[in-house]
Amino acid sequence: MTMIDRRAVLAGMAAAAAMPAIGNAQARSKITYWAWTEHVAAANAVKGEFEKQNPGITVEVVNLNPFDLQDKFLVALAAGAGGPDVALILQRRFDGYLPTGGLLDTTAAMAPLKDSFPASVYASLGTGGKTFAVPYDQNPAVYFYRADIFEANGIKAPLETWEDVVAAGRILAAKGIFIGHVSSPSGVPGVANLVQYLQSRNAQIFGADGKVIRDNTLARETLQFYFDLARKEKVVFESRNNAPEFFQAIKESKIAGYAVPAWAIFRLQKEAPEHAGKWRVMPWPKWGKDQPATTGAWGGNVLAIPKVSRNKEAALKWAMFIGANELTQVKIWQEGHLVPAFAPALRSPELLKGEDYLSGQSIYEAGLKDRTLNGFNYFDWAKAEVIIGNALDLMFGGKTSPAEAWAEIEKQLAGQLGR
Amino acid sequence: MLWPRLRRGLTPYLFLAPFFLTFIAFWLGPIIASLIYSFTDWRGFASPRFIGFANYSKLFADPRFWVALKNTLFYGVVYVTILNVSALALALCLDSLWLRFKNAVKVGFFLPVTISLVVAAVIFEMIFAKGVGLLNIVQKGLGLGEIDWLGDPRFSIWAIIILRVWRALGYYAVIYFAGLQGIPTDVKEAARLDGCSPWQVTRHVTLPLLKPVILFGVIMSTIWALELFDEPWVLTKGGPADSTLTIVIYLYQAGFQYVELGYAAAVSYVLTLMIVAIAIVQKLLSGREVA
Repeated sequence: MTMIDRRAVLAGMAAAAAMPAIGNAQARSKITYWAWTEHVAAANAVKGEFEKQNPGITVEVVNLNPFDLQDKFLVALAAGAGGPDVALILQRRFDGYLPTGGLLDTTAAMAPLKDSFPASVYASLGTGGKTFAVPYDQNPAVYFYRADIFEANGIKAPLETWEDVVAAGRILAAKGIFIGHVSSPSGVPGVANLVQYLQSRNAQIFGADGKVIRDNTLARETLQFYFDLARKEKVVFESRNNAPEFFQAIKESKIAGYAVPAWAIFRLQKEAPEHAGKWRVMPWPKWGKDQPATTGAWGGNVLAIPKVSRNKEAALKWAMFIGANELTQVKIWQEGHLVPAFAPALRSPELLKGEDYLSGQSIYEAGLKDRTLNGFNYFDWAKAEVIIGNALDLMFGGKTSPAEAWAEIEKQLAGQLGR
Repeated sequence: MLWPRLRRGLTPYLFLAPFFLTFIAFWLGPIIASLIYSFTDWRGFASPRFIGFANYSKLFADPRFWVALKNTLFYGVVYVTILNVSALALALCLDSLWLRFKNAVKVGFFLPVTISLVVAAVIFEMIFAKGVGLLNIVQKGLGLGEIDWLGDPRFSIWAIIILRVWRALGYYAVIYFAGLQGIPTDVKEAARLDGCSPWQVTRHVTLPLLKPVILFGVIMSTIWALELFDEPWVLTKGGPADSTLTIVIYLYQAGFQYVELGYAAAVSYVLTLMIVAIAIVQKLLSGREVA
């Protein structure tokens, strides 16, 4: 055999050996899933099980900045190409994706499960009786607090009402310690922070019909309260969200309270590991002793599938697997402290397990189980966030009063959005 | 007979074709398409509808556009001035014979150019942090008080200027240094022999001969200044209260967050015309001998 012959034979053998592998690769569908941080951790924790149950499908989880993801996905829908097979979408932004007509209709898959989700979450999935997404998580807020600081200052937790929070805050403020945090300047996270307060009080910005609620006394009073926490009472720490100065203050024990969704425990663990055992959690305070036990949220998330996905069937399977499956939804709590949207998962004893960082306290049991989450009407939220954020910045910058800021928010939302 | 001649004639064009095809597909095509879209209400989903100059009218009636324009022009003037004066001064120092460790200094100043924006933004977020940031620690040490660089609308644009000058200084200094190296030493020698002081040599010999390079630096830095996006987007998202909102952030929001693509195309054309107009004015002001 000549050298050329031997090469040809070897090449033929290599090609033959590769054939089964190529055959397998062609038989498998690969889907891409766009998500961020804690959601990526949760997806990676369950994708092995999904791939085992669906031998023909592999999942690639792509980690993106949440706000970049929203923009990229919207542009991908407009372009009809370049998007993932499944994307995690901020619920508050979701109504902006519906007019694109680029989302897969999930009505048939979702209809049998309608009663397994909170009505407000299900209602946000589409229009005209059709759904175009799969619910995923809810993000309700709890109140993290420093048990050691509270105890040293004679403050008994849990604090039942916001009045109690302000009273306790005054005690701590006298010693240079803050009982909470306000995002100023606001940016998008600052608007989400304010929405927690509005939502917990059922102070809507838009009516269910999408019109801006004018002369909105409840919302204006809530903004006044939010402002007073920082400027009149001076009981909360003012900084940009997740800014270095905020975490420095946490480390220096200058902040003894933090009203945020449950996933924030990861930030505390990461930024202040030395505080393990000192933090606890209590429910979102009520707006009065006789007021309902509610909470607010930063807005949950939903799973959307573009029509142009080449693997729509596999994509829908994945979305249903992580959004409408009891075991998986429990797992996203365990891995990411993401509160399931799928009601059966909320009954799992796994949600009652304690956290080492909180000295064995269960976030769900202590902070969420007895709270209900009001629905919140989001419309044209990408623009609304900019309008509200700028008004908050001017208010905290001393240019306007809270009453003027709210009047400006109403005027701008109605004028610029035509609502 | 004809085919070989034709083939010989076509050959260079075939070699050039890839460039022209990509130029038409990815440059000229989009430029023309976006001009057409700027006269439509296109949102990316349904067919565009011709609406004449409505996007341009809406643009000029929007107070946020004027805020973005004001911020961009203020930033541009301050940034271009500080950057070019500093880069020129640095290049003159590097060019002088007395400076030791010339290469180390060059590397040191050029290093920020190579650092990724995200890393730079993270570093500067810590430097600018309220109360605990390096800049505030130094300020307090000097008795200058505390400044919320990223949170106070009066200072946020200055924070962006500081970061951008830090990043670009080495790049422009290298350009000016290369220009200085190209100036014949005998001209400067002659001036010195005629009794000129070092400042007079710089003022009357070096700088005039460096004028074309200076013009290049000013025009290029102006174009980059008007296209400011990355740093304010990463650090402040255009806030607080739109104090770091630039035209390109405004364009990005219109196009990629609100998906008003026709409107965003109109914004991009206004920006393009601004850049062209400013470049022409700079060239005219710089004098004819540069041309």
